[in-house]
Amino acid sequence: MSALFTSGRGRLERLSDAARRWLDSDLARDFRSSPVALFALIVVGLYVLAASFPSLVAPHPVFDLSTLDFADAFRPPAWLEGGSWRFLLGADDQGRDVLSAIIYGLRVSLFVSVAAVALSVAIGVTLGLIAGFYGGWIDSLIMRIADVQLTFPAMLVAVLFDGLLRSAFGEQAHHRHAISIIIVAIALSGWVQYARTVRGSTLVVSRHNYVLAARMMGQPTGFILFRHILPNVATPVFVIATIQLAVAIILEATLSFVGLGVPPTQPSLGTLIRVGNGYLLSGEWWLAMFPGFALLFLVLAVNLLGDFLRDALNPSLK
Amino acid sequence: MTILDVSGLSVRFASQGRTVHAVEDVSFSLAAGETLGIVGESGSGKSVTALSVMRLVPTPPGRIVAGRVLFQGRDLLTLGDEDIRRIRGREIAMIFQDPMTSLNPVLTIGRQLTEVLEVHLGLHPRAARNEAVDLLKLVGIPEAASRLDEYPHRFSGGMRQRVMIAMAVACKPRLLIADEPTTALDVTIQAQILEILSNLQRELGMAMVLITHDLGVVAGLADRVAVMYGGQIVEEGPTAALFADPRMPYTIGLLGSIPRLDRPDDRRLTPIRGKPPEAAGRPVGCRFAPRCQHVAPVCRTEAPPFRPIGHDRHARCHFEVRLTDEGVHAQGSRVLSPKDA
Repeated sequence: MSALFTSGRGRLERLSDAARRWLDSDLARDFRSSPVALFALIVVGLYVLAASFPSLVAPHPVFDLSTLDFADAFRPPAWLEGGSWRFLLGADDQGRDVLSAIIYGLRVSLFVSVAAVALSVAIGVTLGLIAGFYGGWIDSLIMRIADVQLTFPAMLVAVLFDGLLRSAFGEQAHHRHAISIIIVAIALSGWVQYARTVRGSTLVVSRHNYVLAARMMGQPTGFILFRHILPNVATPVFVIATIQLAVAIILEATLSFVGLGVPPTQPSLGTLIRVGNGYLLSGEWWLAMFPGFALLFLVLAVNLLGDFLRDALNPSLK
Repeated sequence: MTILDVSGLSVRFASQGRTVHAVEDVSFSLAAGETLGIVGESGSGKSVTALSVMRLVPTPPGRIVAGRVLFQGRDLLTLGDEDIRRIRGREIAMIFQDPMTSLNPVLTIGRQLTEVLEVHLGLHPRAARNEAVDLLKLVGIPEAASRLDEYPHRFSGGMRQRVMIAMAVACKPRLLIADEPTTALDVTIQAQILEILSNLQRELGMAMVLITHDLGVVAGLADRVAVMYGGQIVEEGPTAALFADPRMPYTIGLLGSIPRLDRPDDRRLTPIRGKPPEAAGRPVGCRFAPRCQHVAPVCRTEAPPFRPIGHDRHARCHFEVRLTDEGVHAQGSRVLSPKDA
């Protein structure tokens, strides 16, 4: 996009320009005046960083079986009797470091939820734009499908979709594509919100003169939809996406917890909680509790961020 | 050479179960490089006529029910969607009334200008940018190169209308439709914009349809004038002849209701009595009959034909009108002779 206008000025210069504009923007000001939002942003940032470079952050390479020692099995957190600082949050039944497992699990959880949200944004925004712009029977069709979709709880959609593919492709293939399947399942349960919001704003924006002007200039419809209308209806999408991200993280954890999610070979936070759940009553509480806390703080931070964005990006609250 | 030939154009709008005849049996033609002024009050069908030529009447609720719009020999009303899209912005361009809302607030001026060039002429982004700078210079925007990266909110109304004009003429269209191009602007800016329009028209050899309710604008720019009332063209002819000798009582009333600097007399202005007809419930006969001072029984029962009056002129009136000044202002004086009443 920016390649269009790079002539005459250096890319770096433009980049620093953009950074200065961002720091000077209303949104950045709002962030600086809201300690909670800033804190949430930092927490989410740390999570993302840890998930992006797990091998640098995690104390143990949990997938390297040769490093595991059964002597470390069920080692409690470091501050308890029998604990070791090598296993800050304790170790599981195979002597695997819980902290490292959480960090690697975070990677799966975040990847799945971000991808799922991205996919449902893509589906929802596109359908919403089309419905709002064309109106008529296309609009009715899309919005009725959305209504039907809403009658299925997200969990049910995911279970249905998962079961359907499991019986269609067999256990083996299903295992291989488990992550893609869970992403699609979560995305399918989330697109309606975007579609409804975008459709509503598109109805308004398409009546603006600049859209008429764009049509008068003979611009193709797709171009008008995505270049002229989309940027004008995108703000609420950001807000919904942030809040939906938290929902997607929970949904992924839930699906993994009930065994419909990612395979145990790539444990997500939900898988860790499920596995740890079995030891909860026998005293090894740290196996389930710490992944649970990790999930809790992540979702809390994302939700706080979403709340903040909803207020900050809403011009009627200024 | 005729570039645009509109004949028998009728547009209807369905609104709350009623049908509104927004434009009815409108015909006019335009030679290359010529300027046609379309004047009329709000709701007279000027803008709908213009949108019909671009085939951009919102459908539904609107529908073009009859007519032909021949542009360089091709009927725009029967053209495929893709073909009409290639003509819009390239061969026929349009600018309209409110420059404050006509530019997309989230895209830079440069982006909006270059995309026209890229879509229609297939220009490389860099070439398009250079062209865009030239276009901004052409419409008199200073420091064109640096203003290209700015967003519309930094531009005043007059500046935005210049940008709109630059976009409209970017592909050197054969026909420019200007729908109330200066209505939202203050008077000094109006004059500048009109000058830019007429200069560009001369340079590019464009034909222009100038839609306005401002007779002064028409007098200054248009070669021919069409006066619209109640969805119809009620009088049409060369500007000078029409202004000097209006035939249809509505035109007469219109000209009588504005101050004229080219006439030394200090007569009182005479408003047209009554108010324009509701688009939904227009009278059966002549649309203007309820307000006309010269109304005859035939006017209320029969729609007058659009017929030639003198050289190169048409009017929609039952009367062979030949009016003196007294005839206009003296109520009931029968200077007129009903043709067939």
